[in-house]
Amino acid sequence: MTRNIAKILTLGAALLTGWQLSAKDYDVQEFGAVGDGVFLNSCVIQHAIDYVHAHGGGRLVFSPGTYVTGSIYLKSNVTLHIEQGATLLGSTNPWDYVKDPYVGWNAMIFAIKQENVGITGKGVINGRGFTTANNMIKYIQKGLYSDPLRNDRPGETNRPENIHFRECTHVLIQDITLKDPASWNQTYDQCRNLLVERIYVDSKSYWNNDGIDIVDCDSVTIKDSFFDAADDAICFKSHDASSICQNVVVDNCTGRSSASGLKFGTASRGGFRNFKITNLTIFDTFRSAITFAAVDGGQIENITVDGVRSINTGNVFYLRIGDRWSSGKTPTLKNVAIRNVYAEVPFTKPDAGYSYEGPVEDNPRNISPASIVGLPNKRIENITLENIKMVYPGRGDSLYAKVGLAAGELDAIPEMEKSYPEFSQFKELPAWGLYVRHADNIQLKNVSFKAQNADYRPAVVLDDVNGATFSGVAFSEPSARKKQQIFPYKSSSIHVK
Amino acid sequence: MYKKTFLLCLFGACCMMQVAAGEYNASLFGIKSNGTTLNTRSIQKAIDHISENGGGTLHFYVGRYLTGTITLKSNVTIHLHEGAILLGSTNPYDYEQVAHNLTFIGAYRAENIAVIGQGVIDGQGRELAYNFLDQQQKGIIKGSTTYDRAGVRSKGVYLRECKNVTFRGVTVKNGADWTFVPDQCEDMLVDSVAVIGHAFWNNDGIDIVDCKNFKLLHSFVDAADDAICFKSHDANAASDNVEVRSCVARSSASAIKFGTVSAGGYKNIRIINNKVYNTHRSAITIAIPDGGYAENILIDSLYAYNTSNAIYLRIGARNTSRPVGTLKNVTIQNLYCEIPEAKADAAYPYEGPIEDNPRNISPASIVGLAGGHNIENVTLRNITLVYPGGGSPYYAHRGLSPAELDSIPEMPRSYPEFSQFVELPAWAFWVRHAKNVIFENITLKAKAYDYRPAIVIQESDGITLRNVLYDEPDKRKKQLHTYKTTNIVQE
Amino acid sequence: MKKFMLSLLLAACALTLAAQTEYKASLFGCMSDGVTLNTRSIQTAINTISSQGGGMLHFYVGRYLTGTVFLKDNVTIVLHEGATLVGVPSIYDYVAPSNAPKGIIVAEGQKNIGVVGSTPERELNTNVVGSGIIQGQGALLTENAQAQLAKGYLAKTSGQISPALISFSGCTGVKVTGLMLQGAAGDVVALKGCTDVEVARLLVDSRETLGCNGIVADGCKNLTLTDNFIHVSGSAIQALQSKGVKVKNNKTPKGKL
Repeated sequence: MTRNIAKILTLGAALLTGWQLSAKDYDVQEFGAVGDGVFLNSCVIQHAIDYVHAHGGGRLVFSPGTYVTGSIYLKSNVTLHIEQGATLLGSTNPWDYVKDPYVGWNAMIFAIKQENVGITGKGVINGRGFTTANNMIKYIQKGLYSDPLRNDRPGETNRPENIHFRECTHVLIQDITLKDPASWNQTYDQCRNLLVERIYVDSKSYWNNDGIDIVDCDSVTIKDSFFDAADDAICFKSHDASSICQNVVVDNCTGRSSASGLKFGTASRGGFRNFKITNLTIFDTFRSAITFAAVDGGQIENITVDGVRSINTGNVFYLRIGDRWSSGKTPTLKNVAIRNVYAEVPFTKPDAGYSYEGPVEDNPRNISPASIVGLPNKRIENITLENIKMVYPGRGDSLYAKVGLAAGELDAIPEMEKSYPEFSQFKELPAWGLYVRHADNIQLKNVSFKAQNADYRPAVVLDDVNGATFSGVAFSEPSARKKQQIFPYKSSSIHVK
Repeated sequence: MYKKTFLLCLFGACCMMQVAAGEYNASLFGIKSNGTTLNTRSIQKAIDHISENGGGTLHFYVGRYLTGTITLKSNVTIHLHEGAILLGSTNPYDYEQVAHNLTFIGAYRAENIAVIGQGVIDGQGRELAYNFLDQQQKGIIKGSTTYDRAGVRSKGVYLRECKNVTFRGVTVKNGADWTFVPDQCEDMLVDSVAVIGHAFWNNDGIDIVDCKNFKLLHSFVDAADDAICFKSHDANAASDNVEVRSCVARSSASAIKFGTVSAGGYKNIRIINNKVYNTHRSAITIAIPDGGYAENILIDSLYAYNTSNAIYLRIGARNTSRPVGTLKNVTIQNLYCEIPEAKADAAYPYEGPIEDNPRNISPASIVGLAGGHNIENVTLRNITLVYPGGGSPYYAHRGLSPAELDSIPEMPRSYPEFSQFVELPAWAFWVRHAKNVIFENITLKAKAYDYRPAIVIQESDGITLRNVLYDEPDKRKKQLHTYKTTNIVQE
Repeated sequence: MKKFMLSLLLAACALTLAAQTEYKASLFGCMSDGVTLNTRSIQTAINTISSQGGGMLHFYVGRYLTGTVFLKDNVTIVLHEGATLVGVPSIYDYVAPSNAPKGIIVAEGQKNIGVVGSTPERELNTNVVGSGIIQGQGALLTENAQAQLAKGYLAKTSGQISPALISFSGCTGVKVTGLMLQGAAGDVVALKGCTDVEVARLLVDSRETLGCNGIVADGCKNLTLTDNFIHVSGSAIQALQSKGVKVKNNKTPKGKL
């Protein structure tokens, strides 16, 4: 009997606890926050976060209004819930932000070594980064803020991001609109169990505006989201040689970029492993729909990309091993499968008219081919390309730029292992559809290359490739019926079926 | 066939009519209303084109028209329809001088010009002023940064030597400097206009500088500095025949002000049936500190609420190279003024500074200069002043002994402000160096006991007090104190 | 943001900055519009000036909204006629120095600091009295803080809800002169364990909150209080356990102290 009562009491207490957990919403205005677009709420919001954190956690709710803030730190078990109609508006005063000494970056919303944190709701986080960055320049010019002002702009770690989470577990980013940061929009660095869904990212208010940066994270899902960015739209990075970015799913996302749509790197010290990218749309993008850069000693392996539409994008894919900051490690890039792709590459600049258009570089060159480029002793391995249709403009003109097929010309293409890895870095390349160098075991199955106009180059050039299979590969180029579209050089085991 | 020709003719006639009537839409000149396209060159082209082609009206419909300096030209009317905003660029380098004055909207020696309609001229002066300051701090624009402000800033509207000018209906606001400045203009009408100038420090409302035949009617003026302000910048010019009627003014300085610069003068000025509220300094200030003159000034039917001081008439001598000016023949009648204990302009942007401490509430003052520079022929009639009283001698003290009255400084070279003498010996009126002043039907009320008398008159001649009533908690107190004053008549 | 080392590229700027000891607030982006919260801009200014060897931070006519700022070694805030530091009416923007109440201008363990008024040169020759202003908005602030207390969002630690205008603890060489001090939520000037202190020519008008005292000195040494006018609801001057206290010519509305 006594035992039963105890049980019931325990049950009741548990129910009560459960109920409290699910119902803990706190209205930020109750703490004195003012949503008038003028009052600086940093201290109030910080106190509210600390309070919710200290009282068992819950959601800090921002009802419709415009809440100005500088840097704030999110704490464990606290979710910022920004309702539709509510905006968290970044202060335009650079002094209202903190460059966190531990992470070395500046941001509006930090979370460092916290768990169960989130930002949800159909509201907006607007960094007003253009104004903040320009205000920062004033102080740099007056000698009040230390920054070399490279390219006449403050460094990207000095300008505030909208979100910077570091070493957090169980992170939920849901429904929110993230716009106009002064630097990258949102960084999740060494976080575990990160779910990003249904977010809308408008990130083209200043240079280096990446859409989302996932750095050395484990167990990440990004789905049903839209990214429009001045710099890379969806970007995986590896800053730490002893870490790795792994177990990542990207599903049903759309990206637009004045750099690359989906990017692995550039910083790639540890590496990237076990990725599944499905149902990806990239449009109006200046550089590549997808870039894989293993240039800093890290490994890239076990990546599946399945289902890509790449429309009006400067290049379809770029796979690259380089040797920038490897510090003794050997970079690898292997076991990558890219399937079910439809891509259209334009003759004109794909991101013309967007604010912060990408810089036109590496000229003169005709339209660059998709490329897989390793190094002589660091080879790219096991790449599968299947069910792919790529539509190119053609129009490669040898009077404008020319790399012919003579041994001397192909050998003269530089290795550029120390350079920034970009699909255009070699300037003119000898193919219009696909260029492969220093790679082993390349499988093309059911791949269609179409040039809308004649091009002086063949579609495919293989240079120093051991093992390539072309099965069901078709070429279409006006008045080029008898043209040899696959040109192997210094290559072995090339099979065309 | 005939039909077609007829239609063509009709079409042609329409076009002709349009040209003849001189009606032009802004879009004709590629002017964009999106708030981000900088329209300076296209708006200027439109004005130049209309002026060169016989004149007409340039119509702006609802939208935000971003622009730098534009110069109005003869025979051109700008019609800002409801919702149309001429929006000043926040880039200092989009501004140019018109007749040596940096301004948003300018005109020089233009005739028959008008700005009409329910639209707005918004200079975005605060952002612009801070951007001017930034460029001056870096030494790119040469200018002083006295008081930590940009010395070089642009005005809102500056019109110089223009004739036959009309501003009707529009709102002029947010200059980076003075808001609306007609300078040496003739035959000008400002009617039903709102002038709002509190975007930045020193934002006067409307400055009527040496204008002739000028009317300001039915308008609302709200300013960080003086609201309705007469100035005289040119020793050879003067404001003459000016009427201010049925206006409402609010200021963090003085609501109706003559000065500060008084190089030439003011004559035949009529200020009739106006209202003043929430004003930090005086309802009326007439200051002659730089030579020059003020005469034949009528202020009739003025109602001032929550205003720190009612009247300040002052002769000074800031400029020692010129003869001291004159101030005479002033009538102030039908004045009602309530003076608050708290700060009258609290919570307005750019509140006026609290100065000259410690002092208890200052009295209305008529203050000439020693050496025969009296203020002459002042008639004060049908006036009620309501004071809080409460002057405490421990906070600040100025007694009635000859030594204390003599020790009030003359301050000829100081900026003329009602508070400049710090503590004064009266709570309602203080008169010094005046000749022929008539007080008639005057009621002076103090809500709390004040250690001072209501009126102190010193070093003056010919003072008439007719039906002056005092209402203070201390009924036995002697409310009038005179010192070194001759020909006092009390009726 | 913590270090204000000057970049080599900006050596020219750096030199002019390093040479000067007079700084205007707008250089650091302080806005005089009464609505921009300047806390971090003012703090940046103080940190910069102190790290440059000290100097004066000048505020000219205008309303500068702020929360707590920490004064640092060798920095004096100069409030010119009409310059008003306005306390933000939100309790979470206030921080307390150790062993002393929260405040708008606070300091702990600093040397040679000051908050002083200044007037332009005039024909009227007087010592600067009540020139620049610190306005605490005490009634609003207290109302806000009490609402937070009632909701339980603010811990009920005593003293937390009543920031002073000026609160210094353990400082040496302190000057508070020539200011108007208005509307404190708590005591107007709180000095704890300070040495060599001059408090003079203040016009204190702080009646918005009950029991608020004027100048409260606790455990101070060599303290001079002269020529102040103090109108408060509590006691004008409290000097507790202090040594070398000189009190001269201070007044209240009821007369001389």
